[in-house]
Amino acid sequence: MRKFIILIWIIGLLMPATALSQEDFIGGLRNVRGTAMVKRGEQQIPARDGLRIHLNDVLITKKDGAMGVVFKDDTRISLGPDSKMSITRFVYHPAQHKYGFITQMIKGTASYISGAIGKTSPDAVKFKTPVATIGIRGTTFLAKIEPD
Amino acid sequence: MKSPRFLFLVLGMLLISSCSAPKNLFVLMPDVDGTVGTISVKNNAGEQFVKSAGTAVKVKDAHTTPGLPKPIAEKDIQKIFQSAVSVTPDPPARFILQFKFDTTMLAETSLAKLSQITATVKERQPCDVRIVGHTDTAGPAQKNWELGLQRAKTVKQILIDQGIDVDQIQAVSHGEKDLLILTPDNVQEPKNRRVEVLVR
Repeated sequence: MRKFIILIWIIGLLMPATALSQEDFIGGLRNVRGTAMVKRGEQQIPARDGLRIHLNDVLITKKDGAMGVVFKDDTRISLGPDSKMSITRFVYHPAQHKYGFITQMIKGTASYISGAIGKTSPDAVKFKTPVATIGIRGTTFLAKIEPD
Repeated sequence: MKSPRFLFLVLGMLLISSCSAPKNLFVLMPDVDGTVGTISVKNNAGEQFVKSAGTAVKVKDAHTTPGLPKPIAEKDIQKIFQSAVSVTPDPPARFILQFKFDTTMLAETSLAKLSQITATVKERQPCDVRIVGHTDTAGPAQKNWELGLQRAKTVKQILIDQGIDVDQIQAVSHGEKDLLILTPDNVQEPKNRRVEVLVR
């Protein structure tokens, strides 16, 4: 009986972990240059090509850094040096007609190329910065943010 | 001599203009296919719409109305954004595989694409492969969602058999909700009966 309970407990521990590893990532890093990292909670992960990113990860580049991110809906965002950005909402469930993509840009330079979410549901896409929020009608734009 | 003074004046103006380089700037660009969309730049003080490519809006701070859209020189775009633009990921490679009606059997014409997919995945490493199953609108939506998933899983297994790492592949279904050819409900349409493979 005890063994059985332990087994159930172990399965319980493993289940969410495997579920997370499959569906929880929202995009991946490409073309990482120089010093760049991903801050996930208290964890700081050095950026590298192929690293998968999650909701609320903070993407950081230093003065010599740059990185590209490709998302599950084909949105492509790239960051220049000395930049900081986070994705705070990502919902892509066409079968249920549910969409959402909110970017929080804190500083630096970025290039933004809309993907499927922006094309299907433009109102669900926002690019927030400390000085203004950008609404996007299926398109490409550049942003520079230099906080005081 | 007037000219040295004039030169200083010009230099001085250049210096001032470079010091006042915009801190916050948003530039609309053309899409890859040449079309141009719209962005809106909005804060507590007001909103601006940018509708032509190569046009920029400056924003002083959160409490000041965003500036009027103005053209920006290509060389200024380069100077400010080149590092970011140069690391833009490649657009995803997209493959469409067709299926026989109400089955998870690939149409003969689609078999040849499988080796192209494998080659692309190997070429692009590290990359993610997303397999999206679709159906036409014949039959109930729930059943089609399941059929779409079975189609996606069939392709996933083929790619695994060809040596692609299982962790790189995700198989999902959009059922009959994401049609390639728009049709009413309960219409058989071979082009909608498909799996899309995205390598990104």
